[in-house]
Amino acid sequence: MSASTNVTIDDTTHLTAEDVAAFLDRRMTAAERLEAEEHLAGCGECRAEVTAVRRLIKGQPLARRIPVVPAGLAAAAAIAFLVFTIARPGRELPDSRVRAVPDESPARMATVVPADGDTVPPGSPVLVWSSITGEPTYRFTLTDASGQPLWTSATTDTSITLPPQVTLRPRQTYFWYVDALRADGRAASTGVRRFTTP
Amino acid sequence: MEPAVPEVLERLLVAADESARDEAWRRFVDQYSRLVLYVARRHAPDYDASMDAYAFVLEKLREHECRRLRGYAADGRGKFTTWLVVVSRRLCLDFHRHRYGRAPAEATDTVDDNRAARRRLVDLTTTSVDAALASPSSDDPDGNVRRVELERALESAMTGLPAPDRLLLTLRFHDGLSGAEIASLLHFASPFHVYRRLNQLLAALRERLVRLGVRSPMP
Repeated sequence: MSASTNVTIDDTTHLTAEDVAAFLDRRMTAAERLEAEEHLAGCGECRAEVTAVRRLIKGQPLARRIPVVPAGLAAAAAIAFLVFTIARPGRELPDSRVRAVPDESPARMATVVPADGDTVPPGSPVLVWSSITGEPTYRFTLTDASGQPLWTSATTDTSITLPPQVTLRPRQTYFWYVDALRADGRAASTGVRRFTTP
Repeated sequence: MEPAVPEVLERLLVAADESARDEAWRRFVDQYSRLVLYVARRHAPDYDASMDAYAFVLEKLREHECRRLRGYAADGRGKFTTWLVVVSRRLCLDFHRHRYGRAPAEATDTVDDNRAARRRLVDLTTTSVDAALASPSSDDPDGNVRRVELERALESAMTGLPAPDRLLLTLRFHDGLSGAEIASLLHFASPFHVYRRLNQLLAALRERLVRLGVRSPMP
Protein backbone atom coordinates (compact mmCIF):
# COMPACT_ATOMS: atom_id res chain seq x y z
CA MET A 1 0.00 0.00 0.00
CA SER A 2 1.24 3.47 -0.71
CA ALA A 3 2.40 5.54 2.21
CA SER A 4 1.15 8.85 0.87
CA THR A 5 -1.76 10.96 2.02
CA ASN A 6 -3.56 9.14 4.75
CA VAL A 7 -5.96 11.93 5.51
CA THR A 8 -7.42 11.25 8.89
CA ILE A 9 -6.51 7.81 10.06
CA ASP A 10 -3.47 7.95 12.29
CA ASP A 11 -2.68 4.27 12.20
CA THR A 12 -0.32 4.01 9.24
CA THR A 13 -1.41 0.45 8.56
CA HIS A 14 -4.80 1.60 7.22
CA LEU A 15 -5.46 2.05 3.53
CA THR A 16 -4.68 5.51 2.21
CA ALA A 17 -7.26 7.54 0.31
CA GLU A 18 -5.34 6.69 -2.87
CA ASP A 19 -5.47 2.99 -2.01
CA VAL A 20 -9.22 3.11 -1.42
CA ALA A 21 -9.84 4.92 -4.72
CA ALA A 22 -7.56 2.56 -6.64
CA PHE A 23 -9.23 -0.47 -5.02
CA LEU A 24 -12.73 0.70 -5.87
CA ASP A 25 -11.78 1.67 -9.41
CA ARG A 26 -9.90 -1.59 -9.95
CA ARG A 27 -6.71 0.27 -10.77
CA MET A 28 -4.44 -1.77 -8.52
CA THR A 29 -1.92 -4.28 -9.71
CA ALA A 30 -2.66 -7.87 -8.77
CA ALA A 31 -0.11 -7.71 -5.95
CA GLU A 32 -1.51 -4.43 -4.63
CA ARG A 33 -5.05 -5.75 -4.75
CA LEU A 34 -4.12 -8.93 -2.90
CA GLU A 35 -2.41 -6.84 -0.22
CA ALA A 36 -5.45 -4.57 0.03
CA GLU A 37 -7.81 -7.56 0.28
CA GLU A 38 -5.62 -9.08 2.95
CA HIS A 39 -5.87 -5.84 4.91
CA LEU A 40 -9.60 -5.39 4.33
CA ALA A 41 -10.37 -8.94 5.47
CA GLY A 42 -9.01 -8.03 8.91
CA CYS A 43 -9.78 -4.31 9.21
CA GLY A 44 -13.39 -3.37 9.89
CA GLU A 45 -12.62 0.35 9.71
CA CYS A 46 -11.29 0.18 6.18
CA ARG A 47 -14.07 -2.20 5.10
CA ALA A 48 -16.61 0.27 6.43
CA GLU A 49 -14.89 3.01 4.45
CA VAL A 50 -14.81 1.20 1.10
CA THR A 51 -18.42 0.14 1.59
CA ALA A 52 -19.54 3.67 2.46
CA VAL A 53 -17.63 5.21 -0.43
CA ARG A 54 -19.02 2.66 -2.87
CA ARG A 55 -22.53 3.54 -1.67
CA LEU A 56 -21.81 7.24 -2.04
CA ILE A 57 -20.48 6.76 -5.55
CA LYS A 58 -23.44 4.67 -6.61
CA GLY A 59 -25.82 7.26 -5.24
CA GLN A 60 -24.14 10.39 -6.51
CA PRO A 61 -25.96 12.30 -9.25
CA LEU A 62 -22.76 13.01 -11.17
CA ALA A 63 -21.93 9.35 -11.52
CA ARG A 64 -25.03 8.46 -13.46
CA ARG A 65 -24.34 8.40 -17.14
CA ILE A 66 -26.84 7.10 -19.65
CA PRO A 67 -25.08 5.25 -22.44
CA VAL A 68 -26.15 6.45 -25.84
CA VAL A 69 -26.84 3.46 -28.09
CA PRO A 70 -28.15 3.95 -31.63
CA ALA A 71 -31.74 2.75 -31.88
CA GLY A 72 -30.95 0.28 -34.67
CA LEU A 73 -28.11 -1.28 -32.73
CA ALA A 74 -30.26 -1.60 -29.62
CA ALA A 75 -33.05 -3.26 -31.62
CA ALA A 76 -30.59 -5.66 -33.24
CA ALA A 77 -29.15 -6.57 -29.84
CA ALA A 78 -32.64 -7.15 -28.44
CA ILE A 79 -33.59 -9.40 -31.36
CA ALA A 80 -30.34 -11.33 -31.06
CA PHE A 81 -30.95 -11.76 -27.32
CA LEU A 82 -34.46 -13.07 -27.91
CA VAL A 83 -33.42 -15.42 -30.69
CA PHE A 84 -30.52 -16.94 -28.82
CA THR A 85 -31.73 -17.05 -25.25
CA ILE A 86 -35.41 -17.89 -25.16
CA ALA A 87 -36.26 -21.58 -25.21
CA ARG A 88 -39.81 -22.83 -25.53
CA PRO A 89 -41.23 -24.66 -22.52
CA GLY A 90 -40.79 -28.39 -22.69
CA ARG A 91 -38.25 -28.36 -25.49
CA GLU A 92 -34.71 -29.43 -25.08
CA LEU A 93 -32.12 -26.84 -25.82
CA PRO A 94 -29.86 -27.51 -28.78
CA ASP A 95 -26.73 -29.28 -27.71
CA SER A 96 -24.56 -26.42 -28.98
CA ARG A 97 -26.09 -24.20 -26.29
CA VAL A 98 -24.56 -26.37 -23.60
CA ARG A 99 -20.92 -25.58 -23.76
CA ALA A 100 -17.94 -26.03 -21.54
CA VAL A 101 -17.75 -22.74 -19.72
CA PRO A 102 -15.83 -21.32 -16.82
CA ASP A 103 -17.61 -20.98 -13.53
CA GLU A 104 -18.29 -17.29 -14.07
CA SER A 105 -20.39 -17.61 -17.24
CA PRO A 106 -22.57 -20.69 -17.29
CA ALA A 107 -24.68 -21.39 -20.37
CA ARG A 108 -28.34 -20.55 -19.88
CA MET A 109 -31.30 -22.86 -19.43
CA ALA A 110 -34.85 -21.59 -19.56
CA THR A 111 -37.22 -21.57 -16.64
CA VAL A 112 -40.81 -22.59 -17.30
CA VAL A 113 -42.88 -22.17 -14.16
CA PRO A 114 -43.25 -19.80 -12.45
CA ALA A 115 -42.45 -17.07 -14.95
CA ASP A 116 -39.87 -14.60 -13.70
CA GLY A 117 -41.55 -12.18 -11.29
CA ASP A 118 -44.78 -14.20 -11.01
CA THR A 119 -46.78 -14.44 -7.82
CA VAL A 120 -47.07 -18.02 -6.61
CA PRO A 121 -49.99 -19.25 -4.51
CA PRO A 122 -49.42 -20.45 -0.96
CA GLY A 123 -48.73 -24.12 -0.30
CA SER A 124 -45.97 -26.13 -1.88
CA PRO A 125 -45.26 -24.56 -5.25
CA VAL A 126 -43.79 -26.55 -8.11
CA LEU A 127 -40.91 -25.03 -10.06
CA VAL A 128 -40.13 -26.25 -13.55
CA TRP A 129 -37.24 -25.62 -15.91
CA SER A 130 -36.25 -26.83 -19.35
CA SER A 131 -34.15 -29.94 -19.79
CA ILE A 132 -30.74 -30.22 -21.38
CA THR A 133 -29.08 -33.22 -22.93
CA GLY A 134 -26.18 -35.16 -21.49
CA GLU A 135 -27.60 -36.89 -18.42
CA PRO A 136 -27.44 -33.81 -16.27
CA THR A 137 -27.86 -33.47 -12.54
CA TYR A 138 -29.76 -30.32 -11.61
CA ARG A 139 -29.00 -28.45 -8.43
CA PHE A 140 -31.89 -26.27 -7.30
CA THR A 141 -31.33 -23.34 -4.90
CA LEU A 142 -33.94 -21.15 -3.25
CA THR A 143 -32.86 -17.93 -1.52
CA ASP A 144 -34.61 -15.18 0.35
CA ALA A 145 -34.56 -11.56 -0.78
CA SER A 146 -31.15 -11.00 0.79
CA GLY A 147 -29.70 -13.93 -1.11
CA GLN A 148 -29.54 -16.18 1.92
CA PRO A 149 -29.93 -19.78 0.69
CA LEU A 150 -33.08 -21.31 2.19
CA TRP A 151 -33.09 -24.69 0.54
CA THR A 152 -31.02 -26.59 -1.99
CA SER A 153 -31.67 -29.93 -3.57
CA ALA A 154 -30.15 -32.07 -6.31
CA THR A 155 -32.33 -33.91 -8.80
CA THR A 156 -32.27 -35.46 -12.25
CA ASP A 157 -35.83 -34.28 -12.91
CA THR A 158 -36.72 -30.88 -14.40
CA SER A 159 -39.18 -29.91 -11.73
CA ILE A 160 -39.16 -29.70 -8.01
CA THR A 161 -41.77 -29.18 -5.31
CA LEU A 162 -40.80 -27.13 -2.32
CA PRO A 163 -41.07 -29.36 0.75
CA PRO A 164 -43.36 -28.46 3.66
CA GLN A 165 -40.44 -27.43 5.87
CA VAL A 166 -39.66 -24.56 3.47
CA THR A 167 -42.19 -22.01 4.63
CA LEU A 168 -42.83 -19.16 2.23
CA ARG A 169 -43.84 -16.06 4.11
CA PRO A 170 -46.57 -13.80 2.66
CA ARG A 171 -45.68 -10.72 0.62
CA GLN A 172 -42.05 -11.70 0.19
CA THR A 173 -39.75 -11.95 -2.80
CA TYR A 174 -37.79 -15.15 -3.27
CA PHE A 175 -35.06 -16.01 -5.76
CA TRP A 176 -34.29 -19.35 -7.30
CA TYR A 177 -31.86 -20.80 -9.78
CA VAL A 178 -30.93 -24.17 -11.15
CA ASP A 179 -27.40 -25.22 -12.08
CA ALA A 180 -27.04 -28.22 -14.35
CA LEU A 181 -23.96 -30.38 -14.54
CA ARG A 182 -23.79 -32.88 -17.38
CA ALA A 183 -22.03 -36.20 -17.22
CA ASP A 184 -19.26 -34.82 -19.46
CA GLY A 185 -18.59 -31.97 -17.02
CA ARG A 186 -20.29 -29.24 -19.01
CA ALA A 187 -22.48 -26.83 -17.08
CA ALA A 188 -25.53 -24.67 -17.62
CA SER A 189 -27.64 -22.45 -15.42
CA THR A 190 -31.04 -20.79 -15.46
CA GLY A 191 -29.62 -17.62 -13.94
CA VAL A 192 -31.38 -16.09 -10.97
CA ARG A 193 -35.18 -15.94 -11.23
CA ARG A 194 -37.62 -14.52 -8.73
CA PHE A 195 -41.17 -14.96 -7.57
CA THR A 196 -43.29 -13.30 -4.95
CA THR A 197 -45.87 -14.55 -2.51
CA PRO A 198 -49.33 -12.95 -2.16
CA MET B 1 -3.25 2.74 -17.34
CA GLU B 2 -4.96 5.90 -18.51
CA PRO B 3 -3.96 9.22 -16.93
CA ALA B 4 -6.45 10.08 -14.20
CA VAL B 5 -5.46 13.64 -13.27
CA PRO B 6 -8.11 15.99 -14.69
CA GLU B 7 -7.03 19.08 -16.56
CA VAL B 8 -8.60 21.47 -14.07
CA LEU B 9 -6.54 19.88 -11.30
CA GLU B 10 -3.34 19.96 -13.33
CA ARG B 11 -3.83 23.67 -13.98
CA LEU B 12 -4.34 24.28 -10.28
CA LEU B 13 -1.20 22.42 -9.32
CA VAL B 14 1.04 24.14 -11.88
CA ALA B 15 -0.35 27.68 -11.42
CA ALA B 16 2.67 29.97 -11.23
CA ASP B 17 1.44 32.93 -9.23
CA GLU B 18 -1.26 33.95 -6.78
CA SER B 19 -3.77 35.23 -9.32
CA ALA B 20 -3.37 32.15 -11.51
CA ARG B 21 -3.82 29.95 -8.44
CA ASP B 22 -6.99 31.86 -7.46
CA GLU B 23 -8.42 31.51 -10.94
CA ALA B 24 -7.52 27.81 -11.12
CA TRP B 25 -9.01 27.24 -7.67
CA ARG B 26 -12.24 28.97 -8.72
CA ARG B 27 -12.50 26.65 -11.73
CA PHE B 28 -11.73 23.63 -9.57
CA VAL B 29 -14.45 24.58 -7.09
CA ASP B 30 -16.89 25.21 -9.94
CA GLN B 31 -16.29 21.74 -11.29
CA TYR B 32 -16.30 19.73 -8.06
CA SER B 33 -18.53 21.68 -5.65
CA ARG B 34 -21.52 19.55 -6.45
CA LEU B 35 -19.69 16.35 -5.57
CA VAL B 36 -18.19 17.71 -2.33
CA LEU B 37 -21.55 19.15 -1.32
CA TYR B 38 -23.23 15.83 -2.02
CA VAL B 39 -20.80 14.06 0.33
CA ALA B 40 -21.14 16.80 2.97
CA ARG B 41 -24.93 16.55 2.93
CA ARG B 42 -24.74 12.81 3.52
CA HIS B 43 -22.66 13.36 6.66
CA ALA B 44 -24.37 16.30 8.31
CA PRO B 45 -27.55 16.45 10.37
CA ASP B 46 -28.92 19.60 8.73
CA TYR B 47 -28.38 22.14 5.98
CA ASP B 48 -26.20 24.52 8.00
CA ALA B 49 -23.97 21.74 9.23
CA SER B 50 -23.56 20.38 5.71
CA MET B 51 -22.55 23.81 4.40
CA ASP B 52 -20.03 24.14 7.24
CA ALA B 53 -18.64 20.70 6.42
CA TYR B 54 -18.48 21.62 2.73
CA ALA B 55 -16.49 24.77 3.54
CA PHE B 56 -14.22 22.75 5.85
CA VAL B 57 -13.47 20.24 3.08
CA LEU B 58 -12.59 22.97 0.58
CA GLU B 59 -10.39 24.71 3.14
CA LYS B 60 -8.51 21.48 3.87
CA LEU B 61 -8.10 20.69 0.19
CA ARG B 62 -6.52 24.07 -0.44
CA GLU B 63 -4.30 24.33 2.66
CA HIS B 64 -0.53 23.87 2.44
CA GLU B 65 -0.59 24.63 -1.27
CA CYS B 66 -3.07 21.88 -2.00
CA ARG B 67 -0.98 19.19 -0.27
CA ARG B 68 -3.73 16.58 -0.43
CA LEU B 69 -4.48 17.23 -4.09
CA ARG B 70 -0.79 16.93 -4.88
CA GLY B 71 -0.79 13.61 -3.06
CA TYR B 72 -3.48 12.34 -5.42
CA ALA B 73 -1.66 13.66 -8.50
CA ALA B 74 1.51 11.89 -7.42
CA ASP B 75 -0.35 8.60 -7.11
CA GLY B 76 -3.07 8.91 -9.75
CA ARG B 77 -4.21 5.28 -9.77
CA GLY B 78 -7.92 5.71 -9.00
CA LYS B 79 -10.29 8.12 -10.69
CA PHE B 80 -10.10 11.62 -9.28
CA THR B 81 -13.80 11.72 -8.43
CA THR B 82 -13.51 8.47 -6.46
CA TRP B 83 -10.52 9.83 -4.57
CA LEU B 84 -12.37 13.09 -3.93
CA VAL B 85 -15.32 11.21 -2.44
CA VAL B 86 -12.94 9.27 -0.15
CA VAL B 87 -11.12 12.39 1.04
CA SER B 88 -14.28 14.50 1.35
CA ARG B 89 -15.91 11.80 3.43
CA ARG B 90 -12.89 11.50 5.71
CA LEU B 91 -12.78 15.26 6.16
CA CYS B 92 -16.53 15.40 6.84
CA LEU B 93 -16.11 12.73 9.52
CA ASP B 94 -13.23 14.76 11.01
CA PHE B 95 -15.38 17.87 10.97
CA HIS B 96 -18.25 16.04 12.64
CA ARG B 97 -15.97 14.61 15.33
CA HIS B 98 -14.48 18.03 16.07
CA ARG B 99 -17.87 19.67 16.26
CA TYR B 100 -19.94 17.00 17.98
CA GLY B 101 -17.27 14.88 19.66
CA ARG B 102 -18.30 11.68 17.88
CA ALA B 103 -18.61 10.20 14.44
CA PRO B 104 -21.97 10.54 12.66
CA ALA B 105 -24.31 7.56 12.64
CA GLU B 106 -23.26 6.50 9.13
CA ALA B 107 -19.81 5.56 10.39
CA THR B 108 -20.90 3.47 13.34
CA ASP B 109 -21.35 -0.27 13.15
CA THR B 110 -24.68 -1.94 13.66
CA VAL B 111 -23.43 -4.38 16.24
CA ASP B 112 -26.60 -6.46 16.50
CA ASP B 113 -26.81 -6.90 12.74
CA ASN B 114 -23.17 -7.93 12.65
CA ARG B 115 -23.67 -10.49 15.39
CA ALA B 116 -26.69 -11.91 13.60
CA ALA B 117 -24.78 -12.12 10.33
CA ARG B 118 -21.86 -13.77 12.09
CA ARG B 119 -24.18 -16.31 13.67
CA ARG B 120 -25.56 -17.12 10.21
CA LEU B 121 -22.08 -18.04 9.07
CA VAL B 122 -21.71 -20.48 11.94
CA ASP B 123 -25.11 -21.95 11.15
CA LEU B 124 -24.39 -22.31 7.46
CA THR B 125 -21.04 -23.96 7.94
CA THR B 126 -22.22 -26.37 10.57
CA THR B 127 -25.64 -27.45 9.39
CA SER B 128 -24.38 -30.64 7.87
CA VAL B 129 -21.62 -31.10 10.43
CA ASP B 130 -23.51 -30.80 13.63
CA ALA B 131 -27.03 -29.44 13.79
CA ALA B 132 -26.98 -29.36 17.58
CA LEU B 133 -24.02 -27.00 17.60
CA ALA B 134 -25.62 -24.73 15.07
CA SER B 135 -28.77 -24.11 17.07
CA PRO B 136 -28.35 -24.91 20.76
CA SER B 137 -31.63 -25.01 22.62
CA SER B 138 -32.26 -22.95 25.73
CA ASP B 139 -32.44 -26.08 27.88
CA ASP B 140 -28.99 -27.16 26.69
CA PRO B 141 -26.58 -25.40 29.10
CA ASP B 142 -23.51 -26.52 27.17
CA GLY B 143 -24.77 -25.16 23.88
CA ASN B 144 -23.20 -21.73 24.17
CA VAL B 145 -19.87 -23.14 25.28
CA ARG B 146 -19.80 -25.46 22.30
CA ARG B 147 -20.78 -22.60 20.02
CA VAL B 148 -17.79 -20.57 21.24
CA GLU B 149 -15.55 -23.56 20.61
CA LEU B 150 -17.05 -23.94 17.18
CA GLU B 151 -16.51 -20.27 16.37
CA ARG B 152 -12.86 -20.70 17.31
CA ALA B 153 -12.62 -23.70 15.01
CA LEU B 154 -14.31 -21.65 12.30
CA GLU B 155 -11.82 -18.81 12.77
CA SER B 156 -9.03 -21.32 12.42
CA ALA B 157 -10.58 -22.79 9.27
CA MET B 158 -11.03 -19.32 7.76
CA THR B 159 -7.44 -18.38 8.48
CA GLY B 160 -6.28 -20.90 5.92
CA LEU B 161 -8.37 -19.36 3.12
CA PRO B 162 -6.90 -16.92 0.57
CA ALA B 163 -7.46 -13.23 1.35
CA PRO B 164 -10.09 -12.64 -1.38
CA ASP B 165 -12.19 -15.51 -0.01
CA ARG B 166 -11.85 -14.33 3.59
CA LEU B 167 -12.84 -10.83 2.50
CA LEU B 168 -15.88 -12.19 0.66
CA LEU B 169 -17.02 -14.20 3.69
CA THR B 170 -16.38 -11.28 6.01
CA LEU B 171 -18.33 -8.81 3.89
CA ARG B 172 -21.28 -11.19 3.68
CA PHE B 173 -21.41 -12.73 7.11
CA HIS B 174 -19.64 -10.24 9.36
CA ASP B 175 -20.65 -6.94 7.77
CA GLY B 176 -23.96 -8.25 6.45
CA LEU B 177 -23.63 -6.80 2.93
CA SER B 178 -26.02 -8.04 0.27
CA GLY B 179 -24.81 -10.03 -2.71
CA ALA B 180 -25.48 -7.04 -4.95
CA GLU B 181 -23.29 -4.77 -2.85
CA ILE B 182 -20.50 -7.32 -2.69
CA ALA B 183 -20.68 -7.84 -6.44
CA SER B 184 -20.28 -4.11 -6.94
CA LEU B 185 -17.50 -3.79 -4.39
CA LEU B 186 -15.43 -6.77 -5.46
CA HIS B 187 -16.30 -6.59 -9.17
CA PHE B 188 -18.19 -9.85 -9.48
CA ALA B 189 -20.23 -10.10 -12.67
CA SER B 190 -23.50 -10.35 -10.73
CA PRO B 191 -24.89 -11.20 -7.27
CA PHE B 192 -25.49 -14.68 -8.65
CA HIS B 193 -21.74 -15.16 -8.97
CA VAL B 194 -21.26 -13.96 -5.40
CA TYR B 195 -23.69 -16.52 -4.03
CA ARG B 196 -22.20 -19.31 -6.08
CA ARG B 197 -18.76 -18.52 -4.71
CA LEU B 198 -20.14 -18.26 -1.18
CA ASN B 199 -21.75 -21.67 -1.50
CA GLN B 200 -18.45 -23.13 -2.67
CA LEU B 201 -16.62 -21.51 0.26
CA LEU B 202 -19.16 -22.72 2.79
CA ALA B 203 -18.76 -26.25 1.50
CA ALA B 204 -14.98 -25.91 1.79
CA LEU B 205 -15.31 -24.56 5.33
CA ARG B 206 -17.51 -27.48 6.33
CA GLU B 207 -14.82 -29.86 5.10
CA ARG B 208 -12.15 -27.95 7.02
CA LEU B 209 -14.26 -28.08 10.18
CA VAL B 210 -14.60 -31.82 9.81
CA ARG B 211 -10.83 -32.08 9.42
CA LEU B 212 -10.47 -29.96 12.57
CA GLY B 213 -12.49 -32.55 14.41
CA VAL B 214 -15.89 -30.83 14.55
CA ARG B 215 -17.97 -33.94 14.05
CA SER B 216 -19.99 -34.39 17.18
CA PRO B 217 -21.82 -32.20 19.70
CA MET B 218 -19.95 -33.98 22.46
CA PRO B 219 -16.35 -32.96 23.22
